Amino acid sequence: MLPIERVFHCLQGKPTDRVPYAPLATLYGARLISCHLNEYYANPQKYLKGQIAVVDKLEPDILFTPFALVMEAEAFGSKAVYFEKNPPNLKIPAIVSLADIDNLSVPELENHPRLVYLLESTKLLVEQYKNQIPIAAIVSSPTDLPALIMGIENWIDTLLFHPEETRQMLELTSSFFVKFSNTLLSIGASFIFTPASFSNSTIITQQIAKNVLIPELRSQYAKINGPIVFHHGGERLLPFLEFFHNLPNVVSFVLDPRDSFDEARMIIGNNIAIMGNINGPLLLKANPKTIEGWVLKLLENRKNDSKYIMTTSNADIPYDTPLKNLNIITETIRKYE
Amino acid sequence: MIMNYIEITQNRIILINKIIEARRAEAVDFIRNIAEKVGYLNAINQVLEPVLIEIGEMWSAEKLSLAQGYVAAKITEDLLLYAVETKEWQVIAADRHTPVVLANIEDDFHSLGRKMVSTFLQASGWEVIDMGNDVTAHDIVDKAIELQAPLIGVSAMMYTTALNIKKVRQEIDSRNLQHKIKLAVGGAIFKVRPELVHEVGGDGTCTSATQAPQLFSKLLKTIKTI
Repeated sequence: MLPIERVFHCLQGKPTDRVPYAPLATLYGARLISCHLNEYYANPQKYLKGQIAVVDKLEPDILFTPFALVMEAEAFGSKAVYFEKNPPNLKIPAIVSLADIDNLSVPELENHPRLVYLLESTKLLVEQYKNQIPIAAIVSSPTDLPALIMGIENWIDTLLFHPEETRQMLELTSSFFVKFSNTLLSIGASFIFTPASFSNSTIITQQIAKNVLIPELRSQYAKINGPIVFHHGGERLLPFLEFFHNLPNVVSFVLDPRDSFDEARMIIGNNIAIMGNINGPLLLKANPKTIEGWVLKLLENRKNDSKYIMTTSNADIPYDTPLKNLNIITETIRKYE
Repeated sequence: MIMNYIEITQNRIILINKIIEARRAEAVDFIRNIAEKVGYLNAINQVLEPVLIEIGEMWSAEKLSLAQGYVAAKITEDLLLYAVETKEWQVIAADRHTPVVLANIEDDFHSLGRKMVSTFLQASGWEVIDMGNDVTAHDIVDKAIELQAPLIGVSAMMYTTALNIKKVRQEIDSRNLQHKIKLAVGGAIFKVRPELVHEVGGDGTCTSATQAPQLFSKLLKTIKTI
């Protein structure tokens, strides 16, 4: 089976030759081609080359566009910091005061170099792997992007104490989310892959999550012209899964490594795919034997689950992760066939 | 005037509920009313601090959100602004001023946790020197030496930046200060990967900002008198 057949059969609950596997290896491509990250995160051709190396070395069933959410915030005016071995992160938010929200506007996709990079990288991946490997386009949740535009503290403060400004920020980020996601889908991305931690009650109060943020997701997801994969965003998803269940267009949830698949199935039933649950950042220090144990345990746990895709959870696989630690995952899945 | 046990318990319950429901202004007014009757020291020691400890335990157990921890910090911050204006507080502050140095480590720009820790430490009488984001290990230890601070608190949000905290450990050890300066570490990543505390050479951590005063007091007791 081709990866695209394997993944879409799985999403539909049809039989597959083996469990589909998708390592979140967007950063790792740079290591495989020995590309400096400043260039990797600026030149779509380099990103493509890195992902071709990922295909060659890791044989993934899904490829991801750059996992660099802060680039979306850069288009709003935030400043990012670029590292030698880590993905970019927020350095200075675009605004520091609520009064500055009025100065923000939804960026034109073709006007900002970071957005152009993200779109072009997606386009190149689609051209390279059309009808072979599905492309997951990573897009910041409209409920999380404000934290990258105004800082985590300001966004929490706004959500807690300033309903009007909350509405203003969500209007901006939701409008961007819909425009950006639909453009990515229109150029061939197979689905939108969106980490969302601010709609999770570990971060925000359950009242705000239920009354403000989840209704916002429901409203915006309905406008997306394709399937959505809901990523846990670094927080436990299970305790709140019931609130996210039945969001429009969501075809799968990526669970936190601490979440139980069996319990998740009891909440969401069998009609929706689940993904995870190898803790990506832990692959750096683990040894192959341990990783093999994790994979076998997962395979055994999900052997009767026709809608399971093995992915790495949490953040990108770290740059310095030994290749043998990743190869053992592929080998173990193959052997399990 | 002093509060009796029932009043203290009732006040704590009311305050916890106001924090959980994010009623910031109401919570501040509530404690100020208590302080008018029993003084800020009693209001903070008998009502606010025990409530913060309970909030910290609930937060650590993931029964409360980061936002509710944030509300607790803002209430404490608001209250301190009123308290420092009183003569009572100025007398207390003169007696309680062990300096501590706080910073987000080099390459880390996520200041929320550090700011919350700073607020809770100040409410407990510590003199906080907050160096801000993206501070090198060398500068942090230099500052601690300059101010004779026996405690350093370093924060990082992500695994990759947390590893830079190792450099603080190395700076402390290479200057032979391990018995004079203790290193507290914290940040979101330590909550999900507690083994990191040992990996980066931390002397201790806590899983919520409200628990920082207890941690710092504990670490201070471990320092040998030279």
